[in-house]
Amino acid sequence: MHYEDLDLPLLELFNRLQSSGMPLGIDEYILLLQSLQSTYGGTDYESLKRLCSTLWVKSKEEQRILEYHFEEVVLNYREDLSEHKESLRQTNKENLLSRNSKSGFPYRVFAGYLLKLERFISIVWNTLQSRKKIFIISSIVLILTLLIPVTYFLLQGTEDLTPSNSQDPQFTTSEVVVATIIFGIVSIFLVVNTLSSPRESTKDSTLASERYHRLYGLANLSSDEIQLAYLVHSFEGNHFSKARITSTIEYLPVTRRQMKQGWRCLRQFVYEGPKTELDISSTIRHINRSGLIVLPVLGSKKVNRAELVILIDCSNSMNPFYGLTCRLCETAAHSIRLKNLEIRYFYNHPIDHLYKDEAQTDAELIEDLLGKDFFRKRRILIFSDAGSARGRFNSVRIKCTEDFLRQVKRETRLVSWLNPVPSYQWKGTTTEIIAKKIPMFEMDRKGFMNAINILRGKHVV
Amino acid sequence: MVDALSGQLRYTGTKQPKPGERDANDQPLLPYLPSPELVEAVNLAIMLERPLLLKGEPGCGKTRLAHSVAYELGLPLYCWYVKSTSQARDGLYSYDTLGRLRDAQLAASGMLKDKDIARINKPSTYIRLGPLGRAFLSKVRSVVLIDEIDKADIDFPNDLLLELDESQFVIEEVGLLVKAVSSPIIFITSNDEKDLPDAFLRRCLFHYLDFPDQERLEKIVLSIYPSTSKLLVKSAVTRFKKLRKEMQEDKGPLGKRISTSEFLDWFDILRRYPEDEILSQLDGKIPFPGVLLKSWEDHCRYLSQGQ
Repeated sequence: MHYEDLDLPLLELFNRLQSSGMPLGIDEYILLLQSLQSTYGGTDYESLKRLCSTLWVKSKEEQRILEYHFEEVVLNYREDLSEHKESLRQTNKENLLSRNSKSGFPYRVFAGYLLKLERFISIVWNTLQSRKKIFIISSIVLILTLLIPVTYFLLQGTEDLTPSNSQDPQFTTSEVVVATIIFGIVSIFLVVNTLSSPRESTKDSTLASERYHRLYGLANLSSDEIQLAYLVHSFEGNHFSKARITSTIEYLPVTRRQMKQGWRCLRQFVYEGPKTELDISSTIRHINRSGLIVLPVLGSKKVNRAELVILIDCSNSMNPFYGLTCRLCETAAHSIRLKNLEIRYFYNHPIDHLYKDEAQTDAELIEDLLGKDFFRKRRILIFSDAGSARGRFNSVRIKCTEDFLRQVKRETRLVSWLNPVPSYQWKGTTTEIIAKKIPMFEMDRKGFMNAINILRGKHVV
Repeated sequence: MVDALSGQLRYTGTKQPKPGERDANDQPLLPYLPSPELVEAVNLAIMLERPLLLKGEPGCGKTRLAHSVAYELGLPLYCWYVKSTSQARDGLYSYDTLGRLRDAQLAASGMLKDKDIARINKPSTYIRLGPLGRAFLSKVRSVVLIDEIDKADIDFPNDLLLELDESQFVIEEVGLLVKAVSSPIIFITSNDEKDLPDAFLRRCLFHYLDFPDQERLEKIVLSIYPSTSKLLVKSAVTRFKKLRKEMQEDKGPLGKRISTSEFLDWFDILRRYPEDEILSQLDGKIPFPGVLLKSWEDHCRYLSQGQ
């Protein structure tokens, strides 16, 4: 079967992938269509999945997301297709019946009702689990088994009472006994099967648990930057019903990619070091001026002199934002060279000590750091809630922070503050006052980029 | 092989060089057995005229793929081995400014003959085309390999975007536009040390080279060393895979794992010794561990386990 014959939900797959954060544009979709139109599309879903991953996927995490969405889309498509076929078949049957019935109106109505009843029973039957089906069958058979001798004896009894003309009993005794025995065996077999059939249920549950694990594995991914629908599973017993998608939210406000892009902007190229590179324009200028054959003029290499100091608040009020803190540090360490980056921690507000680690074991006095010119000519980024997490107003805190900022601003003018608490919560707390002293931004993409721009020396509106 | 119907080039991965054959640079050519998914990806890249970005463990055969494709399709291969100091322009062209300056000064002082003066008046004397530039100007479709692109500065892939998109570039010093006659087949390899920018990734197709499974490893070894016994091959592959699995479990996904090229080197040594001796050694301690294990910790951990 060629892909043109199938009405594949490629656009749906594309939309899903795009909304889950993969950077795909319309060009990518057109690329897929182009390659399908050639002879490259294979004849099964596996090769289609491989094609999509070659064209759209650029890393292992994206591969997992593609696989997940692909399975979902194909599954839905297959279900829709089979349902569609099923309903087509039913309506065809009805049409056939209504067309072929030569007898009068009542028969047609009766046939219609019969068909509807059949469809109802088949729907109910199909939605029941196989285990329940077996249970129902076995209970029906058991009841019949009990009913047959009872009715027989009742009939015998009534016949004794009513002297009617000799009508032989419908069944002889031996036939009844045989029938009872057969039904009994069948029902016992079915009951035993129902009680001890772990195979059926595990098959269902392994499939469902596979799916659950696949989704859950992706849910672990969602703590990363990819926007993923949060899935809520509801299950009765062992049966996982279809997941209900509750919301599409990104878990952390700034993605890893955005952070890395921000860090990359922090560059300041300065020509310094030994003079090893040929400087063409100054050579030409030199020759113009002197008019003689001269040696070429050499210049120094470009070096990135942007040095960053990140001061992180590791107090208890910052505990909810631990994920953000980790992500900030990781991406900074990944994007900025080791000698250009320093990370220090403080507790609540930077007075007296700055710590080299989160556990606050290795302390350095701020006076010592100032004496060592730790902050001189460096860009300083402070990541703290500044009191807005608890929502209180603390004048001591304000004074301490102001002192610190005054000392630091003597060394460098590039300082900015990132606050993970949203800005509408700053009003009436310590944060409001501190925000007036230093450019403070809330931790979303725009705020993060603004903070970075301040550190680059640009003016931010 | 060229598809006769559409004139399209199609790579199958089946044409292997004969033993002892050498390429244009007098390097020995070895057989390359790609996985079917890789063959598909290569053909897609050829058809859609987009570069193919290859990632994988070190030693899994990313660089060798370009050589194999060029060999099978009979196309010229231009390699560009990127260094950390590489600029994007180096791959396109380089202009010999010093030479021009020297010649101008010599001409000014009257030390050049007439024919030299004619030569230095032509701007093309000082332009030296890089691999990509030569590929653009080649009359047939060529294969370009940009090796280890993540070694260079972060701006490097961004500087190549226009060239990759439109297959043309301008030589600034002369004002000459170089447009590709036929867009080359470009293979880009990356060791995943740095992130590549999104705009660049968008233009490439991507394939991750997985480690080959047992069967394919055996086939690879047999194609390179055809006269070795199958039993030796099988037991070597099994032992290698076992060691690799142990390393993977211990170090996790980010640790260094032993790769295909190390395995081939190791096998090269193994086959030079009598077979039964090697077979008995393979069951216990790993023979010649220095070829596979490259750190002291690995030596301590895995050699002691062999008993």
